[in-house]
Amino acid sequence: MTAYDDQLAEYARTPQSLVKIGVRYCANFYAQTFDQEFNLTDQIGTPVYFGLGGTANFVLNAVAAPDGTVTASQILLPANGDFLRTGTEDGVAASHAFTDSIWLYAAAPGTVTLDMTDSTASEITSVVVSITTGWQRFIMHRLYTAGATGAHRMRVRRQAGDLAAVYAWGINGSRNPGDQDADLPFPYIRRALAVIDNTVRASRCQAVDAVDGARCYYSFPTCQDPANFNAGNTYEATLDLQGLREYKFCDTNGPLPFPDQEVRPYIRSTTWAAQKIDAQKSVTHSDRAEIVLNDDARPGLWDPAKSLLGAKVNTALEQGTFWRRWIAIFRNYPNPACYAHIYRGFIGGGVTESLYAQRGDYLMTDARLGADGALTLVCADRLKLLSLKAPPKISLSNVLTVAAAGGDATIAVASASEFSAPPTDGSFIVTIQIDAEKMNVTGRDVTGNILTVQRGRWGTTAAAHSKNAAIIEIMEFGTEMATPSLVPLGKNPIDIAIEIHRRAGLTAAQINSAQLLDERDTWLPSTVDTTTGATSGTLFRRTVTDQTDLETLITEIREVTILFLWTGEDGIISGRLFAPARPTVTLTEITDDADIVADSLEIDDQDEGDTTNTGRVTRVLVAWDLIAGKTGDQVADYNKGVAVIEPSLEATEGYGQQRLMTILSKWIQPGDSATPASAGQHLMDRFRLGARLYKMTLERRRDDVKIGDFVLLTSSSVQLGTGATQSRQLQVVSKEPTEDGLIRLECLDTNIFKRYFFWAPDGLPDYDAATTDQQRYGYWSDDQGLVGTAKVAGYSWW
Amino acid sequence: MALPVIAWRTILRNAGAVVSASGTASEYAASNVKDFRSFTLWKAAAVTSPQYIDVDLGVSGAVDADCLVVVNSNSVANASNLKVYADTVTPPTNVVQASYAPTSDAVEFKTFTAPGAKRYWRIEFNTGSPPFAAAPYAGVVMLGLKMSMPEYIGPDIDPFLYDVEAVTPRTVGGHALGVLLRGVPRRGSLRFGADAGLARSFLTSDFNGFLTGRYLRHEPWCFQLDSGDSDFSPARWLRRPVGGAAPRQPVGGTYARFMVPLPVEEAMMEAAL
Repeated sequence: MTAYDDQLAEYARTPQSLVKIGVRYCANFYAQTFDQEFNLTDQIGTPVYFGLGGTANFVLNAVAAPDGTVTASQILLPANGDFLRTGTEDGVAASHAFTDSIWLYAAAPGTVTLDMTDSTASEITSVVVSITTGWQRFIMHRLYTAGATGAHRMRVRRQAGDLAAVYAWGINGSRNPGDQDADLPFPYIRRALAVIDNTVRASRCQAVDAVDGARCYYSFPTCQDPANFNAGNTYEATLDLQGLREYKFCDTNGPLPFPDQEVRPYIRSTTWAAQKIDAQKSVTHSDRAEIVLNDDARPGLWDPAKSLLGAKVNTALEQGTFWRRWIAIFRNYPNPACYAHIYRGFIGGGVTESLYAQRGDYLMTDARLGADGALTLVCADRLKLLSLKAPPKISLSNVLTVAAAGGDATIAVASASEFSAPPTDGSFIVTIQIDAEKMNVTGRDVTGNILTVQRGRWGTTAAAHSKNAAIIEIMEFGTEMATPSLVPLGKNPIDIAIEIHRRAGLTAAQINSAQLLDERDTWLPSTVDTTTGATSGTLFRRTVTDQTDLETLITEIREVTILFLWTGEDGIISGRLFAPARPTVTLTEITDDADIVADSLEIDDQDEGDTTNTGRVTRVLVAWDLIAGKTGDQVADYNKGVAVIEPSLEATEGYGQQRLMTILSKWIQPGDSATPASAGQHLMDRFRLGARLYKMTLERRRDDVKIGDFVLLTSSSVQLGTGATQSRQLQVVSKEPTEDGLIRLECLDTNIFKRYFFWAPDGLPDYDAATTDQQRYGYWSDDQGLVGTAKVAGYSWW
Repeated sequence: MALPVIAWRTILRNAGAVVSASGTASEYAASNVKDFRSFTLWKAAAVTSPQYIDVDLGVSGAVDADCLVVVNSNSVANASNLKVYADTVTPPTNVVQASYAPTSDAVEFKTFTAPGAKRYWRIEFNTGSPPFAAAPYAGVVMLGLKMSMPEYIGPDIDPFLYDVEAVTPRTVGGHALGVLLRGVPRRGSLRFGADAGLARSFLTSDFNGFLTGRYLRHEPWCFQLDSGDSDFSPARWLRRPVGGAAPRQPVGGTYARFMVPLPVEEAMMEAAL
């Protein structure tokens, strides 16, 4: 149980909301430049510019650095007293203060000593730091006396008890503004040159201060030197170094949640258009929230953090109102790097911010100012990014500017910036096509308009191309053979779904790949051998040349695989395939007596529909193998089809009518007949009894139920023909808070009436002695398919 | 019984006043204590004792004060004493309120003998057993001359009134599933002048200044009902509610005396019961 769970379990509590709005915030000091003093910041140990003491040594480019490049060094300190040190050319120590930093980690936790010294080590500040197995940036400072000699330096040193080897990267050092005696780091900046280079600055704003108070507000819309706006680094540990500033708000109608923090009680209301997983349309409607925030007539200083650090700030004091100013200063709030996080918690002694549970991680998509100055902030979850179109449309004039020979590893184009940037983590491949040849783009020089390419890919052959040859960018979904000129293989649909999300701009941390891949390996496994070409399981293969909504591509994959996708309350996209809940998955129980608010349970059979939007189906048709030149919008556009029909459902004594679900797939490979048949059968299993929807209200205490969860509903509202209560296995497809603090759920009946066979772990007892949870695994039946001495229905294969 | 007191003046907001502090944690500027917002804080940069807030009123800005208000601080929780200095030199050394232990972190109100007009004022947070457990902080600090009411107020204010909204859903079987509480600002009305009315001279001077300079602007102020009674002495942080009006009603058909009903609500929400 988490601390939030403990609060939920209390009988009486006072809820409170917390909204954190993060906006882009410049890490510079206005109209002030501070040089970054150290050389070769990502090549720690390079001779001449780094000194070694004792038996110290180093290995360059040993491991991946926090920025993803393989430029981190390993520093070897075999003996106590060994050290590696930097030097600076013009960082004069005397009477000056500096802040130095370095990223460190080690194969096993331990310590190492960091020193800041003058050139003779007559003045020294030493800190023993604790290193873990993950990258951390260590920051320290020193104010040197007037007697300090020469330039200031930083050392990594081994003392007794310290580690003998550490990985290091990103050494930075800069003079403190006003020579303040404090840690004043700037975001890490790379200095690649070994010579004096005063253009590499930790703070690099070159705006001219007119000394009239009209300065920036450290936001991009108000920036007076946009070319040097300091957006920080995403891999830093603190918001200010990430180039972000966060404002916190709580409900107006409630006590301050954390009296020792600045949390503005501006929230008037929060309404949700809850995320819904539409099983029939295979679409997940974004979770949308609207937050209404009261205005404040006395907004005060905008930059207290900067002013307290000694930076120049805009001196316009207490004019205007909070939101009217905010929306002018942070006009770029829809930037995907900006965010609105919503948390829920309770008021109580000892309650801290960490005890508040995240309810949503949103992008800000719109802001509306009311006549009273109140702001309505419209937010959507990150699934909104799927509305992006890809591949990018390349201009007709963006052609080869120099003829390319078949062996050239680089090609010259009119505008390299029009092409997608290849990701550093290999999450997807950028592919272009010139004439009949496809190439993978591995590098992009937007200044020189050069693309670094791998030739003859995706089953094509490298060839010469003439000057002014047209270029298009395409998307290849599949797996290249080890010999790329051979016909490519398919790729698992789950892997493709993850790749599409990465193409949309979501980061790896924003996708629950672990769960999605677990679903893949359990229910949709596949293998590819890129050497022999052997494959197994369900693999999709497709080339997309026309610009398409990425959401459309995801929907097409979901239709065939019956994949549910949703954004969790933690802002991470997760998913499940339609399949029985495994015995290892705990079914959350929801009952009348313990959970459901009286008179709130509604059941909708959702039986009403037409041939294009059927709640219940009697036959499923899957068409695949698109005919060349066809759009794929109708069955006739495909070479192959398979139909699954349940005659008993269509009989006059059954439902007496046909209801057809049609799946048109551009993804299933032409030679694959197993996937369409399996998909058709699973869709029939899923929808033969329709998609019954259960709506209910729960008390706030059941906030532990999350969207996507399987729940077991036991309610007197759900009965068999005999009148006995029947428990139903449901999946939560929508969750939203109500205005009075309760929770409204919508759950889809999984219609999984049968018990399915799962391999049990060793040591389980016989069926009669097994617990209910143990009986969720499979037991062998008799010839009639019955198990146990009571002869109950046995298990089926999925 | 003591007469009600309203503290609404604050020298920290005088023209030319410069507010500084012994140190400030990042994003917790000293100027935050003068904006009437209990949720914007000054917070000390260190836990050493003492920490302080200084006010410099400028060459020709010296003023007098006889009461201190501190709203939303951690003084009680932090075992911090408060002390007030006022002087013609800086740093001020003349003590006008000796070190004492405050009784409320929500709204602390303390009166002292006015020292006469001074330029430099200091509000000090100190502890007898340094260092502090946590850095001292305060949301609002006010120093100024209090306004003592010449008469008791009418009986329309219930100092013990709490408003709490609760949502209590039940199951089909009638079991209560839980309670979600929502605090509501305490509301009431201060009826100054009761039946006999306030003297016109009071209304046209001090009280009018309070009405126009603070009450009608929806800015908060401090109110103490009766310093002589422990039940009624805790100070309140009040403001005019939206839509509230303060009609001055002549008593007895003349304008020699007035009665003024002031609708009020808590400016800082207290935790719901």
